[in-house]
Amino acid sequence: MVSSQTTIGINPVNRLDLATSRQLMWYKFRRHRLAMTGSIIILLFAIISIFPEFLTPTGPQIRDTKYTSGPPTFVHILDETYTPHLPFIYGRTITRHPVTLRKISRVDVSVRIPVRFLVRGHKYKFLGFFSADLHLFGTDSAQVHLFGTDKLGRDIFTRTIYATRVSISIGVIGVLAAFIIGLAVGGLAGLRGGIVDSVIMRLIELIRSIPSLPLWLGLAAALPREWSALQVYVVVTLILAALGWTTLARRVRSKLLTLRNEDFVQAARLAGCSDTRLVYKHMLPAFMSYLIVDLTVAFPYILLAETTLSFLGLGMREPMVSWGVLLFSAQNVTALAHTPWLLIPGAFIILIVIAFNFFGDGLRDAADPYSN
Amino acid sequence: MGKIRNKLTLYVLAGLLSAGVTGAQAEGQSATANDTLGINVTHANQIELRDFEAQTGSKLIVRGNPLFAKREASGSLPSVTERLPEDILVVLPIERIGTYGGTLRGAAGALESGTSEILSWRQVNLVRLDPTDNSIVPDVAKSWAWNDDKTEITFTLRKGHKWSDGNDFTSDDVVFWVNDIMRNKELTPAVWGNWSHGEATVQVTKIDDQNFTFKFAKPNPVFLHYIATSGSYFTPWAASHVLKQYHADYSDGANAAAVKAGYEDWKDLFKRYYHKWKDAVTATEKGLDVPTLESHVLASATDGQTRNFIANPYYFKVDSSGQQLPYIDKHNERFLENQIWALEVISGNIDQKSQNVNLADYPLFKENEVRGDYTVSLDKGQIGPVLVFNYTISDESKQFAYNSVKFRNAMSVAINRPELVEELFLGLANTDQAMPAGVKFSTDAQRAHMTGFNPDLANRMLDELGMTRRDADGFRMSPSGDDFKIFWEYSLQFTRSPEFPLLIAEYWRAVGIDVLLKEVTTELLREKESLNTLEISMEWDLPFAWNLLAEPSIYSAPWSASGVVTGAPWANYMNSNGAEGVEPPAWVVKLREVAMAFSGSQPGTDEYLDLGSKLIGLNLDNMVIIGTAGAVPQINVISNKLANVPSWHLNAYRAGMANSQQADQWSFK
Repeated sequence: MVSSQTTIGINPVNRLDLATSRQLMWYKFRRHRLAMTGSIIILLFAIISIFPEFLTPTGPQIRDTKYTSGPPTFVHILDETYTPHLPFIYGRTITRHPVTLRKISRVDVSVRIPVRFLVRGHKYKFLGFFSADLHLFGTDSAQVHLFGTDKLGRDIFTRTIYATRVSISIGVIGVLAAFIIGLAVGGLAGLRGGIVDSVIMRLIELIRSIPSLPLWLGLAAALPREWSALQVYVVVTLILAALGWTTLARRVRSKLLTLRNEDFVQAARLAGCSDTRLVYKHMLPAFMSYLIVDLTVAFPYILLAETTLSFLGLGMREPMVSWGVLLFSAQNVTALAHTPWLLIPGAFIILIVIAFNFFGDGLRDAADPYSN
Repeated sequence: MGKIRNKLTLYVLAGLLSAGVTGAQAEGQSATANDTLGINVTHANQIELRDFEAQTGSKLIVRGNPLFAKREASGSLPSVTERLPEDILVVLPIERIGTYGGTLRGAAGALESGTSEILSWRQVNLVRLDPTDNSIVPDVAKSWAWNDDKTEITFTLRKGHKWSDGNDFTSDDVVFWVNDIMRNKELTPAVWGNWSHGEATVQVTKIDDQNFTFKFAKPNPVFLHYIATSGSYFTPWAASHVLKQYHADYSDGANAAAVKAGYEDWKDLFKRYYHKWKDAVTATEKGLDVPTLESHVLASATDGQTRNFIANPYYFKVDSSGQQLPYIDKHNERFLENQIWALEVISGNIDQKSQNVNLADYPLFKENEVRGDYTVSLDKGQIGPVLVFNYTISDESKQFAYNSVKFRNAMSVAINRPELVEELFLGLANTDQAMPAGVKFSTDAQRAHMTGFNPDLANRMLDELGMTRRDADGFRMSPSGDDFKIFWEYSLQFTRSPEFPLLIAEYWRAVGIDVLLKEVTTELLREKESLNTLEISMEWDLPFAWNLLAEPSIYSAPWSASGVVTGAPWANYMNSNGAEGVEPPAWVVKLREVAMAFSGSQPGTDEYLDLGSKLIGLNLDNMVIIGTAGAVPQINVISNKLANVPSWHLNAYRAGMANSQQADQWSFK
């Protein structure tokens, strides 16, 4: 608003000259098309993670016993004679091939099952508190399976959406935990210097020198077997965070070391600023943007780590579903040859990792708004 | 017609003979199992050389595998006539006289993983099972004779039979095995299987170099079936000329030498050279020093990737044309991840695979039959996965459930068997309760016992058990108000299908019993079984009538012939006459008595039928072994390049796997 008023004046002032650094970052970020696309995708995933119960037609463990190993049921609006209808799916039956015994899905074009929006279906606890049974879409009779079903008849679409919550939240919690550890440890090293700095730096080098896969395997194998899926979930997240903080700690330390001798820091120090205030009030804001970039880069790393662990059968376990758990069940030749739709969750992983990379890219460019 | 043709053939043969042709073994003229050319075989498709020559009227000229020609020429290997025993066993190949050469390729998960075919391709025993009619035929033993009450059996070995290193194989090797290995408490703390029939270890008496007698404490009518099937994996002999130097009873310096070589004591080193499970020895470089009677011998020290065998130049069988068996030069087994097998099979890189193949892969195999140039069949298999709760589990907070028939019945009727069979076993298995196969004394009602899907009944039973309180997630708690979760550790070797535990857990959760699942290795399972900490055991193999007689502990405490399936402290108590373990409840004692009486009964008698029926009844009343699917077919892939492979009649561990399929006369076309 400020800029629009000033342009009325005699000397037209460029709005960039008056914008705050935050506004400048936003302008610059907005110009980055890929980054914008990335952030929209991330936003969508965030929404999915919050409302999986509502967005899916069924539950992650509910089996459609009449439609096992079934291919995706596409939603049509035109029938076989190209006559338009309200959205519907065709009726399908699963039979076995008489010779190979393979399950075959037959489409019955004479049966059209309308897909309705905002239908009442199976009950769930919305956000863990309110009982609800409203679903975004669904059918009255046969189930709609957008991504097909697995061998036990569980809906892959539903499971993928539920897995989004688990996988994304592992990423978010893991990144936040790593952020806090990294900030604290890196801050301590940068500020104190000397022996503390040396010890912390050697510790970080030690952690970084351990090959990650064997370390994960070891830590995951050390988890008590009696733990429930939820406990495993929390601990896996923390393990990933415990390994992910080192880059951030180094970044914080090096920035603090540079800034320590800047005039404004010296001034603040001479003015009697406490260490904590010095860091949080004066130094941190000076390089916060870099940290945010680091965070966005760390996110896909943690996400992929979880997927790898679960894919190897060491991370999440049924009945908890994460993307890694879903892909775990697709790792045999028969699954790949006969039920390739089990790989769809993989596309979600690719999408979110790319989205975060674009987003981070845009942020990096925008982080230094005065560069251009 | 057949008779006339046979007669005609005889005339033709006679004509050929009189014309001076050297017998019936000219190429294309030799007898096979499918066309015996009038040879009257005494046992299945095999006959002793003397009888064979008497029938053909001419001497069979034996020839060796050209593989050994170089070694023969250099003098490091005697000629084939010197290598073969006097009493040669003549085999009429199934389809055709084979040609030498080739490598039989297999795959397993790892060494000692229970996934390997390679032992059954080469193993031999005193006798063999003829799978066409389940009769017993000679193998290493030329003949045998029982005494009247079947407590003593005298075997006759083959004169001039040699170990694969050229030394003589005699009764001494059997006596050494019984007296110095099996009866040696230090080497064998517990005698396995049928060898302790009547609760006393077998006794052996040497008559001469070829004759010896086994004596049992009680009549043992199924002994021959035992060593031909579930006992086939453990040979009743050991190479005494090699092993004596490591045995403290024979060599004074054995212990010192072993310690000096870095072993704990002589037993430690001895076990490197001898293990009842032969393939445990081939896993080490020591396997190269131990001779064998099998069709193939270890060719190089086994590593983490592969295992190689080469034809045994001293093998005691020839085909009807006089060629020494085996036809196939080499056996090669690669250790591959389970998921890779399917890929290797459809690419035609495995010649025979059956053990531990997931039935769900059948459609994939069938679709790729032509591409991979193999034939896949669904053999009559064994029982599907079974579930045995550990009654005596060391975690006492779970005993109230696992030790209750009501709980086990509830768990059984909570399972939707028709759905399970349809989804996991291609709809091909039946939904029978777990019980012995092919026995006359089981009834349809018994097979259907507690198999109907009835979640309401399961819920009612669990309520009656006092598990009425529910936790925050809606799962039942124990009567004392503690969390209750079945902690189910499983190995894919026993689940048959990776989805099996998931589906069963869903059924149980549906009646309020929460389940934690964890896949572990078979090794760890067995360790936990023996420590009494495993909650559910699945390692129970379907017994056939002969197994039940030979090894009564398969169907009474501890429900396993080799390890412990459930009730380890009870078995300890019974084995130590009350010195150790926990006193078993009355029904376990009763069951044991019935099983022992049954194992001493004569098959077919009223006593046998009556005791057998009681045995099943007691097991079912107590719901010991929860069956989920019965007669699950076994996938069997056989390369089309192989000839002389009989059609598989039975493919089960307790039937000796591929052992009875005579892999020594398989040949590449």
